[in-house]
Amino acid sequence: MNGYAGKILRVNLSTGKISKENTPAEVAKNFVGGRGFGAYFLFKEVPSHADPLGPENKLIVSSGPLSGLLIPGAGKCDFTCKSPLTGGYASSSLGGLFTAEMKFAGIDSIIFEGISPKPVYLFIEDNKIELRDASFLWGKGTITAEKELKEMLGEEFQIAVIGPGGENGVSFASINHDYGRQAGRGGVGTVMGIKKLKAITIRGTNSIPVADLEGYRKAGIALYKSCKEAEGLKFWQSYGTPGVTSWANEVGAFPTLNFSAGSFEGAKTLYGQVMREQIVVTDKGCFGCPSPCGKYSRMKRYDTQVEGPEYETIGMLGSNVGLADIQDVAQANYLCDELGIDTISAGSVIGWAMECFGKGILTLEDTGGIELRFGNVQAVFSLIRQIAAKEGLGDLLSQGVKKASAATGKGSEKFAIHVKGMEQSAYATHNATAMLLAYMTSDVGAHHNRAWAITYDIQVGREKVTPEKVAHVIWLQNFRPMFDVLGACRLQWVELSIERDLYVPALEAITGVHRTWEDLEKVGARIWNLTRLYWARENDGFDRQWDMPAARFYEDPPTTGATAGQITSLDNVNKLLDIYYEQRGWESNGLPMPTTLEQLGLTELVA
Amino acid sequence: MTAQIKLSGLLKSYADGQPVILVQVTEGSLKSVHDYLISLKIPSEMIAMVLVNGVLQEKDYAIRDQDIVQLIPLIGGG
Repeated sequence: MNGYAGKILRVNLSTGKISKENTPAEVAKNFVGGRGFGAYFLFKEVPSHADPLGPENKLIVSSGPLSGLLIPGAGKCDFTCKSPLTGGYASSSLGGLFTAEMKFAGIDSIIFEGISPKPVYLFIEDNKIELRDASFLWGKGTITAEKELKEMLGEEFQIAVIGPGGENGVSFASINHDYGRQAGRGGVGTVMGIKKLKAITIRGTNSIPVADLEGYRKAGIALYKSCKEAEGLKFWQSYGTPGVTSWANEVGAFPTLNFSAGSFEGAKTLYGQVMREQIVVTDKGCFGCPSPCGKYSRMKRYDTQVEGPEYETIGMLGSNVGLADIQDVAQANYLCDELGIDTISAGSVIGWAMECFGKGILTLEDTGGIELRFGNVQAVFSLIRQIAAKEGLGDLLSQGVKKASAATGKGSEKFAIHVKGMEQSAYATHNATAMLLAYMTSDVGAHHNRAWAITYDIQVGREKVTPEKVAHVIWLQNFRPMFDVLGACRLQWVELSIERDLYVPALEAITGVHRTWEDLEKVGARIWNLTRLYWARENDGFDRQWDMPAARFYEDPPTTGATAGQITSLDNVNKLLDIYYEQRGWESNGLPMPTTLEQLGLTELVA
Repeated sequence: MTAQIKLSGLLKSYADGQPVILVQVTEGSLKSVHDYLISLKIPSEMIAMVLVNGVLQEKDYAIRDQDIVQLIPLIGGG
């Protein structure tokens, strides 16, 4: 199949059996690749009500048809499993060079099954594929372990690796790659750790079949030309995602002191220009990227370096926990990366614990003597280490904010900021109804990458609740994650505003299949509905209550900042859901109607 | 003394489609980017970033003679 490596690699970690099978043409037709492959294999192969931490859960690693080809940012890799954090669908995207190397090694997806009796890593060098002992790496940090593997195997190997967080079963452990890229969300690293799979190392030297070489060349050049001529290129290359920090603070979207507000008093010292001046050493890009937005930073005070921090980390481990020094935030980022835990969830659980401490719900006895006040940088560092080790208060926090607040009680559930058990990423949504709905209905829990609708709120009126607004969120949810299906980065479209139609001839030339964006959005809707059914299948009693946001966003208006006194009413929250379900073709309890499944060709698969 | 304010994307509609506006700068009573946004009737929240001579600045930056101010609008894609 053109655009595909052609093989699915299956690795049973319990038995050590390794096998290859052809990539199913029908699955490629209906689910295309990447996130689509992950959702399909998860639904089809992982038994209903499987324990996320048991041998029946699978970790599915997928490339897309654009991965590894000369298309801007064609280095996106999808990791899918049943989430140990939420109990539902987990899919987390990783940038860098890993997925291109998978394709060069002749692999579209790797499906890990079972649990290894001892720590191992998967070694792939084209057709030489074997599980190797990883005892010597167990317990080591991600950066340390990757460096050791590179020194042992060679720089040309691409590596995905977990740290102590994944090994110890922290519910939001990450998978790291290239010293600073993460598949961070939903606990994909937790599942890798439970399987005792320390790392995946890949080197490939094969080419990828392309249907129309000349068409591919022309379409690829058109895409790169458009990126290079984009007005915003210089800006995005200089500042990356931290470039939006000042704007987020101005409009009241910057998560502040556990999302109690959207503007932070100390925000100015976290802005992108401050970060660039004070700590950034160089820019860093992913495979085939014409606009490298990654920033490599050095923290002189700590004698450390890190890739980042990205905007999300600045929000969650900065303003959300009361830190206003960019070096401190970058150091917290470094600790999370090395220990292999998600910076967004970590910032959320720590912010929640700090609010609990301030309210007297957690005491010095609970914290082991730590003064857990907002802005206490040493407390943040200590808790990150405790979470990764599951020691002290970290044992509670390592379960995620939903379970931690349920166990703690005393009203702390009200300010546990999550949807479906996933901690909300770094946009405060007190008065931004499209972004609020995007978080409520995101298919992995409260994550922003499916529909980043906050700018749309600002453009059309942030408090409005209209069918047009809901339709825009649905359009984003169907369209935007298609980049994770195709295996390429969405940021050239988001940040550089290149025309999405430029991808159509490229995809056709590569795969030989003509697909318009309308066709691709239908694939997006198919995956969206399949993952919705997965949530319902795995969680008895799943209904619209699962789509409710944190109570803070309809009960607790900020008292400071740009959104002071502003809130979305509970009536409007419900109205958003009603309109959303109707437009999605779902029942009022939030489950897809049979006719919707029929239209999307899902009836047989979900029967 | 003059400075340039460059408008891109949807911001051009605030200046009859013009990509560049020349503004007079008076030494001793410099006006901020925010002041110019008000006079141009561009909502401040629509501006995601302000670059002055290629460097990211805040909206309270006082525009000086010969400055080239680039206003980056909200990211279109979302």
